[in-house]
Amino acid sequence: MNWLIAQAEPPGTGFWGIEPSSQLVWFIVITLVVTTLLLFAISRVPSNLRKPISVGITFLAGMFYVLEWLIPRSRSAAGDQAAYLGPINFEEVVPIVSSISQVLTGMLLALGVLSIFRVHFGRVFKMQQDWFFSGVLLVSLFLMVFLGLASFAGDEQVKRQQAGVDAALRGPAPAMTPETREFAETGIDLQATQLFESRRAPPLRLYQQRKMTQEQFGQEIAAAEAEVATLRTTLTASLEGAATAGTLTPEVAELAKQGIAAAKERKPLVQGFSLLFERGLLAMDAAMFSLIGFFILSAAYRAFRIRSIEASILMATALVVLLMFVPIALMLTSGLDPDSFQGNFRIDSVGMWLLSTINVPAIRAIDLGLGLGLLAMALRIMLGLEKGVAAD
Amino acid sequence: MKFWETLYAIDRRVLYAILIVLAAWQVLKPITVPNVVLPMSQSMFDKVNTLKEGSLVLVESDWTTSTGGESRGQFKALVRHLIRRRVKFIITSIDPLAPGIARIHVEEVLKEEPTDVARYAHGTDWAVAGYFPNAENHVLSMVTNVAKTLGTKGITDMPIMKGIKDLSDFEAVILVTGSSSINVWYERIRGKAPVGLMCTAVMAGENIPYYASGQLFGMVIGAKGAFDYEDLLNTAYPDEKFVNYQSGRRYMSPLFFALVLLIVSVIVGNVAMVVLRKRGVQQ
Repeated sequence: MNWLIAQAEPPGTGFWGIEPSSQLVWFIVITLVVTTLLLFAISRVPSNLRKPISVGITFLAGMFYVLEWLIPRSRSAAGDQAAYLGPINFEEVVPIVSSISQVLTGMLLALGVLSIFRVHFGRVFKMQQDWFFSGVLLVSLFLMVFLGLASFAGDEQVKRQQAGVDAALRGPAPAMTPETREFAETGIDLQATQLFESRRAPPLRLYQQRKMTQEQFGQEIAAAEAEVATLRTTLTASLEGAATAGTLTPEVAELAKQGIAAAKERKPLVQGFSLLFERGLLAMDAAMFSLIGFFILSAAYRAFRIRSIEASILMATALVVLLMFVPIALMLTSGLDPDSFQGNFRIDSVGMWLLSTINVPAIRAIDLGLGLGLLAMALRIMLGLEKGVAAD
Repeated sequence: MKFWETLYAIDRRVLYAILIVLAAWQVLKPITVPNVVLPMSQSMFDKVNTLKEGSLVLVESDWTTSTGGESRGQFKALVRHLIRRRVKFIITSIDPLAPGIARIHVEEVLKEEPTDVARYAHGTDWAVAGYFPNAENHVLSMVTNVAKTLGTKGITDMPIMKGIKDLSDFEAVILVTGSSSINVWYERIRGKAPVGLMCTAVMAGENIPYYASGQLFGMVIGAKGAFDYEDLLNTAYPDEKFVNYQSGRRYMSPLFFALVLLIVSVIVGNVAMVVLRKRGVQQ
């Protein structure tokens, strides 16, 4: 292994060091063409050769990660970590292989979407049972894709417009355009709103907690409004000054950039995405998961019956660990000094003892067994011994 | 006899109804519950509290609204603490929904923080690197070549990445998760940065061994952990201008009543079983 450790100097930029960003579109197109040709070629391979090919690829992919783990690391002259196997520096290759793997995961995702589309479109087309729900699924799917892409396009437009403002500012004669002025006005509105909200929040909190009277709250709001008016006057004067001179100033450019981002949020398609994602999908996600609370309650009531000594021990430990996560229950024994003998009987002490002394060795034993099983399974898959993994 | 038989087999719809009433009551009118901070929450807080101003932390946010009851409070408390300590952070995720959710919540925190604290710009002080499919490869790639990995998401060009070449340049990696993504970090981190975990309560058992062995510098567990962190924030930042308590404390009383219902129903079921058994009733 010493000859591997000795290779600390990079042998020059190879294929893996190429940055695709400059010709990204071509990179994507060529990748798509090559992948399609590869898939086509694989589909045309005689059936008796399919297994050796898929096992070979699986073996190579698996070996890559084994080598990545085993090859010793050293430091290059520049201080970077390096792990050389001949001319290949695994430290450079890993992110690229990782990107390839992520592309493959993306393709799997696309296959999943295609499969869902085929199943549900067929159901709607043939008006089979529950076709209406399939229709809802398809409409939701495409609406989310469309609005998501629109939101993404909006982000890209914001970046371009903000870069345009920066470029104009850096130019020899930064000119103030009507469009920049409009965005700067939106930026002023945004700053004013943000200032008002941040000034209103603390007194509102105190008022809601009954720590402030209505009159005091009103005074705080009036002060906040006065501060906002001052800010608006200052910023508007700055904008008017720049507009009169016809010159874009750094302050106005910053306002315009904020205005560009704020204007994007007001677009109907972006608001539609926000409505579907934040108010729809996320709320439904939370609602679905919250149902588990009901099932846990019902299952615990039915299953936790002391029918044997083991069940009694299990229930007692479960109750202690449950109580450990209930603050009021913790308060019951919080008076016991944690550094005294009695402190051992605090609920949190007993809970921690159960988790760290009883639970830890059990989990370690399970993990060890699991790890050995995974190792055996990985070897079987890499060597093509596992049925159903390679193309049998 | 009929009474005990009823208690032995309470209709699940009755349990559901009681749970709905209790949870709704406490969500609408929560009681303020006292707290005793767990040592693992304290360790997490202490570690973040020692981070220097301007240092960089990687926050792997893998939670969505499905575990939001526990993870939201943890995440917001952590972000609050990082912002108040002027610690920069980059957010990555292995869940496609999570980056959007993380961004929403960071922006919420920035709005809630006092204006003199909340001057945090995206790209300079914090950044969302987005979604990385395939956890194994994502972590391996981050550990091997963080600049190139984040470069695929356009983060490398941002000022926040100035001088960052390796994961060891991050002061800490903190996972806020409701999934098993932490396992990949245990396997691949190679000691390049200290790791902290904010997880759901059901994940506590399987991750305690890593806290016990010192592989995790701190653990914030479930809604109780979020409450702990908020409590610690309140002790460190007692000024009225700071928002310290939110969903961590707010969800404590509904959780408390739900857990009490669970414990009481288990006890009632067992007492009924013992009584019926003594009376020779076939169960």
